[in-house]
Amino acid sequence: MDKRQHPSSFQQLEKLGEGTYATVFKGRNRQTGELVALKEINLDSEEGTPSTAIREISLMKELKHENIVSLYDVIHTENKLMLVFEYMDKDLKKYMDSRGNQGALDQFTVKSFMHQLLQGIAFCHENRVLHRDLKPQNLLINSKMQLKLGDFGLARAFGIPVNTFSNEVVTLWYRAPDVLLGSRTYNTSIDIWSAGCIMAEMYTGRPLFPGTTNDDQLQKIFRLMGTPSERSWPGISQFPEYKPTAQNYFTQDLRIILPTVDSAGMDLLTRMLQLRPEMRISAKDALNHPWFRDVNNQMRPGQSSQQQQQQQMVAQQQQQQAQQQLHAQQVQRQQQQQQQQMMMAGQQTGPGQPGYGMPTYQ
Amino acid sequence: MADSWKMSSPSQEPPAPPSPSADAGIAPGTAAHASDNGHVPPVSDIDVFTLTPVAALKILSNSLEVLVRITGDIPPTPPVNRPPISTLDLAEAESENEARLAQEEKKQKRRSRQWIGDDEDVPVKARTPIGSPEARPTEPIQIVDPEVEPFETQHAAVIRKFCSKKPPPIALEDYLMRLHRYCPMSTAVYLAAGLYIHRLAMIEKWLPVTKRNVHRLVLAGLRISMKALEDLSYPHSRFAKVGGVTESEMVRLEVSFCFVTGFNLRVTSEMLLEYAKTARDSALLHQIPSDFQPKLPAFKDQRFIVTNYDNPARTSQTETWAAAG
Ligand SMILES: Nc1ncnc2c1ncn2[C@@H]1O[C@H](COP(=O)(O)OP(=O)(O)OP(=O)(O)O)[C@@H](O)[C@H]1O
Ligand SMILES: [Mg+2]
Repeated sequence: MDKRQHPSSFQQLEKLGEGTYATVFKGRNRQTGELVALKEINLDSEEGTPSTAIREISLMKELKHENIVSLYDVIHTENKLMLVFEYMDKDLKKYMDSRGNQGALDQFTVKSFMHQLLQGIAFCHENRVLHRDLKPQNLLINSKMQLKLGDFGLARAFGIPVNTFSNEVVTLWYRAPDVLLGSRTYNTSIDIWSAGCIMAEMYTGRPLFPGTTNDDQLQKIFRLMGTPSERSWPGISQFPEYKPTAQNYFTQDLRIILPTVDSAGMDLLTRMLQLRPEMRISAKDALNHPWFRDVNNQMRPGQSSQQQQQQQMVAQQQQQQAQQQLHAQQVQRQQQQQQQQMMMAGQQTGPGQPGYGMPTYQ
Repeated sequence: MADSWKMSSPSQEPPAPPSPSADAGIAPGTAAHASDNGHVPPVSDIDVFTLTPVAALKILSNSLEVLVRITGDIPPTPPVNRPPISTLDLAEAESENEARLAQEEKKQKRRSRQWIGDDEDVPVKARTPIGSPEARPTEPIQIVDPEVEPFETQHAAVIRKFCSKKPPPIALEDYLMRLHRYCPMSTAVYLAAGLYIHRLAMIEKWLPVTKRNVHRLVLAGLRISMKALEDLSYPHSRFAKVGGVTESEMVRLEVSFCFVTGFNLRVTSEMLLEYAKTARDSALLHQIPSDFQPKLPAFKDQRFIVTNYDNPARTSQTETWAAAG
C-alpha cells in the first residue's frame, strides 16, 4: 500500500448543529490536524439507508465547486453513516446573529455573499440539480468569508422520467408561491425565490416572509408583492391549492421595508421575487446583473497581467453596457409599474411579457 | 401595510425543514398502469420520456439476461476465510436481528404507513421465492484497513452478499414483473438500475453478473435507484417482502450496493438514453473486449471509506482507497 495514503482517522470534537436526520460534529483528522465537519446519520433498520443520505452523497460527490461544501469521505458502518465534509466556521444564520447589526449585514458583505450563493446555485442548475432547501442555516461561511451551499438532503436531479415530484419541499419561509399553491412541476426557479428571500434577510436581519402555515405564508407574500389574479398570472386558478381570496392586496414598494438596498440591488431582488416562476431571473442571468459589476470586475488572483488587462477592458465595456441597461431597466420598470397599476384596475395584462428577463452579456 | 409586516416579523427559529416523502398527493398508486403494454420501440425511436415503465423493465431484464449469458455459471465466491477481526458483537447483533424479524413483520403490519398502503394488498404468500442467500447473514461487510485485512478479501465479502445458494427458480423477467405488480417503478428507476449494474459488470468490472446473483443485484439496484431518484420509496417491509428477502437482508443488500457503486448514482436523461439504446440492441452488449475478465478495478475514482466507527479499536483504521498514483 502506498505510504502517502496512510490510514487516517478523525477525532470527534464538539457538536456543531443538529438537523432532523443528522447530527453534525466538528472533527479533526488525527493525521493532518485538518478540521472537518462530521455529519452522522443513524441508519434506521426499518427503512434502511435514508434516501436523504443517498442523495446527499451521490450529488455532493459530483458537484465540485468552490461555492459548494466539499464532501471528502463517507464512512459506512452497520448502523451509521458518517459523512466527512470540509470544515466551515458557521452557517449564515449564526454568522448574521454574531456579526451583523441585529442580524443585518453591510452592503458589501451582502453583495459578496449573494454573488457566491448565485454561483453555487448556477452550478447546481447547470448540472441539473435542484437544491430545494436554501435557507441561511444551510449556507455555510468559512474564515475566508467564502459562502458555500450545504445540506443537499432535499436536493434532486431534474429532467429525468420519474414518477414522483414532491410538493413538500423548501422550508416554509423560503418556499416559492408556485410551490405554496401546490405545484409539482416546479423547476430551478424555486431556488431563486429562496435566494431572493435570503438576500432581503441579509439586509434586515429578519426573515422576509415569516409565515406560520401554508396559507399564512401565501398571505404574507401577497401582502407585499400584491395578490395575483388570472390576469397577472395566467393559469393561477389551475393550481391545486389556489383559493380566490377576499383580500386583494396591492403591490407594495419593497424599498419601504428595505431602505438600505440600492436601486440596482432592488432591481435584482425584484427579478428574483417574481410570483410567476417563469418570470424569475435565472441564476446565470442574475450573476450578470449590473449590481454585481464591481464583484465581476475584481481581478482574480493568479491571472497574468495580460489577462487582467483584457478583463478590465471587458469589464469597462460591461460597465458601460450595464449602465445603459440599468437605465433601460428603470424605464422598463416604470412602465411595468404603470402597467401593473392599470392591471390592478383591471385593464391590462401583467408584467413580464417575453423579453422581460435580463439579457446576458459576456 | 408595511408597518404591520414589520411588527409581525418575530426573531423566531425558522420552521422545520420539509419532508418530501410526506406529500400524500404524489403516490402513483400501487396498481401498475393497465394501459402500459410494454412495447419496446426500435433503438432509433427510443426516447426516455415516452418509453413506458414496463418497456424500460423489459430492456433492463433483457440486458441482464445477456450479461448472465456472457458470464456463464460462475460458481459463487467461496466464503471468505478470515479470522474474526474483533467484528465486535456483529454476529450476535445480526442473529438477534433475525430473531426479531418475525415479530417485527407482525408489528409493521399494524403500523400505519405513510405511503402506498400497507402490505395488505400483497398476498400472504407474496414473498417471492428467490431462495436463500449464499452468504450467512453474520458475514460482516465492514471494510477495514488493508493492513489488517487485504482489500480483495473485503471486496469478495461484499459481492458474496448478492449471491444466492442456488440460481433462483423464478425467471428474471417474471421476477421483475412481479416486483412491478406490487411496487411499480418509473422508467428512470428501471433504466438507472440497469445502468448501475451494467457499469459494475462491464466497465468497472467489479463483479460478474450470474444466474446466482442477478436477482439480488437487481433488487438492490432498484431499491437504491428509487431512493436516489424519486421523492418517495416503498416501505422497506413491503419492498423486501415482494423482493423475496428478509428486511435485514434488504438492509445489507442496500449497503452493499452503495458500497460497490461508490454512491455514483447521479444520472441524466442522456445517460439513461445511452444505456437504453445499448441495452435494447443486445448485439452491442455482445461486443465484449477480448480481454474481458470480471475482476477488481485498478482503483476507484474517489476516496471512500467503510469501516467501523463505533469500535475505538478500529477508528484508527479507516482507510482511503483513493486513485493510486
Ligand atoms: N461543513 C460544516 N461546517 C460547519 N458546520 C456545519 C457544516 N455542515 C453543517 N454544519 C452545521 O450543522 C447544521 C446542520 O447541518 P445540515 O443542514 O447539513 O444537517 P441536516 O440534518 O440536513 O439539517 P436539517 O434537516 O435541519 O436541514 C448546519 O445548519 C450548520 O450549522
Ligand atoms: Mg439543514
